[in-house]
Amino acid sequence: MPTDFASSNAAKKLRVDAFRRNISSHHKRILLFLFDQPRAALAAHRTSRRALHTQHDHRSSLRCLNHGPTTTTVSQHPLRSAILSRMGAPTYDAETLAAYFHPIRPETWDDPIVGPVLRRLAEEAPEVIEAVGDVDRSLIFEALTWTPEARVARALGMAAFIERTRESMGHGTR
Amino acid sequence: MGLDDPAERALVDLLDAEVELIVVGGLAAVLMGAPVVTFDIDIVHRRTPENVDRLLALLLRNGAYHRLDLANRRLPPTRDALLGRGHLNLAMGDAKLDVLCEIEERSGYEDLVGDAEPVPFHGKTLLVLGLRRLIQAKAAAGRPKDHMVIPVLVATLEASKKRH
Repeated sequence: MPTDFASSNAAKKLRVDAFRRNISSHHKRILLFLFDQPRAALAAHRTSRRALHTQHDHRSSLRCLNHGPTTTTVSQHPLRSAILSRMGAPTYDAETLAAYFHPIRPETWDDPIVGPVLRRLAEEAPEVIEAVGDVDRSLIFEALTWTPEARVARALGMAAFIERTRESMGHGTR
Repeated sequence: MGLDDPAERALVDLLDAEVELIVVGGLAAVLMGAPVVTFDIDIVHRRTPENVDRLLALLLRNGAYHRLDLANRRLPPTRDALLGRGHLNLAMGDAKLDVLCEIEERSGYEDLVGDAEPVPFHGKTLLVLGLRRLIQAKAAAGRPKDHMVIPVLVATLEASKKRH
């Protein structure tokens, strides 16, 4: 993270406000990451995982992660706006965004193969579950219109480009 | 790009040689529609003597060698290794080809074939590990690099179901 944000008055105010509000360890983890404190962020991350294990059973965890009514999630927290402003906010309306970025569908949790995997990840690596909501589906919708040959050609072509770039930067081949 | 790409050429060569295999890993994700980049081909081959002989003949004909060798001796793959349980990280021309006898905990060709989907590829049929089993395998592997791809795989699974 650039130091200009971390040292800014706005950042200091956010930090003070956050701790005054006694926010959850999960939010603390994000704040610490913003403030360039990876070691402390890792500790907070572990704390938040322990909290997730002890505070919720499977179903309430899923509600929290997938539907969000039981506790305040990152997506609802006022700090999200501060984080998003660092990342750059999309310019589309809510309906459009929901079509391309959304959490895991309820029916996927019921899938006989994938469902148990997702429930385990919700406990052991909740950030993986949350990240599904950040996947840009427009890339997938486009790829699904291509032939298998075109999909392979695109992926390998991009890999070849990355390798050429690495070589030109003196990093050698993978 | 067509068959100019060495990895794609290698895949077609494997099909032409009638090697029984299942594409797994990143290339399987790509074939199933996931917008990810992959640098190598991961395959799980059927470990019958006949199939291993077909695979070995192709590998030797194309000068395949173990690319993970600090002494860079360009050691060729062996029949015994292909009949075993390990992973052979090979280079074949400019293609990187990972020949996996088993994945996860002792899952070989026979264990995976039920979850593989036929995908048309250059006039032939390629068996590709389905998204559900891929997600399961990535989660079981548990490494950060495996976890990173799971969100895209889950989103691709949902998009595929919606499309069908």
